[in-house]
Amino acid sequence: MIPCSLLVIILAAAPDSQSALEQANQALMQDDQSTASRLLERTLADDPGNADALLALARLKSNQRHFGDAIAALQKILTLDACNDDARYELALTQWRAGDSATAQQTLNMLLERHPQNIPALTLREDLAVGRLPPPAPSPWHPMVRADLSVGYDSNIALDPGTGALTSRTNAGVLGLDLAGTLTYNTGDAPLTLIARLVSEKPIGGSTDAAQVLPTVVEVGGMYSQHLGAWLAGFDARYQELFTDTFNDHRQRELAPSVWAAIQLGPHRVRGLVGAELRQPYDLQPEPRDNLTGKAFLRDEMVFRPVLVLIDLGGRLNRGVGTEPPAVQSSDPLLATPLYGFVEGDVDLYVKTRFWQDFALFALAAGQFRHFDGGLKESTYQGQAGLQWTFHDFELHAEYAYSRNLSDAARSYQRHQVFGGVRVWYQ
Amino acid sequence: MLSLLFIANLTLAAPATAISVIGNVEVETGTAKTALLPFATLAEGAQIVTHEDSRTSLRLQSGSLVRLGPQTRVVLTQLEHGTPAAARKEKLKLVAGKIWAHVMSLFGQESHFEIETASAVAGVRGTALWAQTDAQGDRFVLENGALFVRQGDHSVQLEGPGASAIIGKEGLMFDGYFSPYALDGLRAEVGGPAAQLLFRTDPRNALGLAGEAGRQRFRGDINSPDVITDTPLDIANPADEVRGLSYVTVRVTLPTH
Repeated sequence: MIPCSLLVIILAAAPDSQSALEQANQALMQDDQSTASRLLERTLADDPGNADALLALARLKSNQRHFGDAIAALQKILTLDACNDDARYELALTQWRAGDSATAQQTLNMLLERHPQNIPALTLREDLAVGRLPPPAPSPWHPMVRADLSVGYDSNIALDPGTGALTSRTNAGVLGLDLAGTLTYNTGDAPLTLIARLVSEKPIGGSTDAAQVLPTVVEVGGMYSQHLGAWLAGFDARYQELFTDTFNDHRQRELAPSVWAAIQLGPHRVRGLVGAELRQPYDLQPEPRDNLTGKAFLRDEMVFRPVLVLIDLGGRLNRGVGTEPPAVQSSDPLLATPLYGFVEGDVDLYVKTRFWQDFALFALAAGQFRHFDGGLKESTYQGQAGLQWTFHDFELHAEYAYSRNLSDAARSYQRHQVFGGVRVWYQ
Repeated sequence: MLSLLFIANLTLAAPATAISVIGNVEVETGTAKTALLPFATLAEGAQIVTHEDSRTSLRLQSGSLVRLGPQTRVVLTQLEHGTPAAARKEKLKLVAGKIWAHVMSLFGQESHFEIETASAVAGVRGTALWAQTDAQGDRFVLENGALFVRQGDHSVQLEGPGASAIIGKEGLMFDGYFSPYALDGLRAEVGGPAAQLLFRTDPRNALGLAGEAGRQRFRGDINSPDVITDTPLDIANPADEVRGLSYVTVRVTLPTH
């Protein structure tokens, strides 16, 4: 019989260790195992007798195939908490996965001595007896396909009613399709994801006017993130082609790279982002109308279980690339509004909560304020609310948005959008 | 024969160990009241009291783990252990508050693990559960495995994650299923972040690292980092796209004068 004796006396857990465990928990909810591991290691530096932190760390290390670290942590647990049979089973399992079947068998024998009918232990003993190999390392490549079919109503779909080719109905039923494929390479610490995406909207009923302004976007991109000490830094780049009337009218191409860095500070996850957007619009005279936008945003994500609160503050500065001055833009009858030469401030407040199983509610309040070089001042406010009901491989969603633009008398507008749909994943 | 062997090998009052102590936790033995320290041993009959914002986790000799939430009082009424360790008689009395118990499987027909409240007794055979008692009555909620709750001659069997039974003025009755989300709330309330962390990292848990978290990660990483909501409303109209809005849609009209 293994004695469950007291071997080590440790002082009471440091109060900060609870906060660190909470932060590790939040990191795991975002599948950020590296941050969780670091937080657990920091906890154990202050509180080496924290058996819970040791077991969680051992599991993370084992999952990352750092078997030596996992075995060391599990052995330490058993010196502190000798009756921890879960840790003993996981030690045998990790030793087997590390290729040391003989030691795994010894560990298993100790467990079966205490629990002769323990089913996981008996199953593992059978695997060892027949010389079964441990499961191979999972592939680092993770493909995924996502499709979203939505239907909705837009009360003010028109771009600029009453002006030539862009004349349209002021409202329309809309059918939306969002198809995306991703390929992620993830060895645990620095995931790289490649993305291809098609987003297209069509009017219900085949209105030609509405079709002329509803967008189709083809996008390819990639994103990469890497831990730098306590920071998580990332790079994201997107290339888009914008069409209307499905693929009939090519409107614009865009390249948008950005870099960001985030750090966890208690319940706050603070992230800074800087980026650029280079646009080449088509079919707008006089050409070229290339324009460049720089942007900087600061985001604070706060988790007060079960509520996520997000605040995003930022601004953008747009400049044309050596083309028309603002005075020319604003007098162009084919342009609804100046396209470039503006400075913009943004503020967003987003709240999301899950209150029943996989049923989530969210709300977004956004404000955007622009000042164009030609003198026009614009402010746009938007409220969104929605719900998501997530099942294993699909999700039902519904959203409503109200937008209000305040600028000069002729440009002001309001808009209602209601959408509902189903989103499906295949991995 | 097996049970005879088990009875013959029983030893009395094998102590439990407090493997984690957070905040103000006391142990009462007879008339003596002392602060509970990490890795202190607790003999049969000991009464453990957690105060506000305080928790403790007790390892029994059988390998079972009992977590006491804040403002909870538990008496270790029976701690008899034999050889093998799975052969034992363990009984806790929940006087007030909330506990979570991960009970290792039993060995031999004489073995038992029971949680007793003022009005009911729950017998378990290899499971994890929550128990709570307050002025309104008692509640048992299953995390996994199976559970029998008994009040006098009446009993209810619980099976499946989230299954619950209540014992109130109308007696013992099945009370439906807790959602995974509600279970996570209960897990946080009783065991704190450590309990949630261990649940999320458990390789035998379908919702663990390889499960829900991974799925959510791949599902959520499609949008560029300046997008907040993942909805069809993100699709801006052509004017917005041309001007480069990230997700706030704007429609503009030409001056008519």
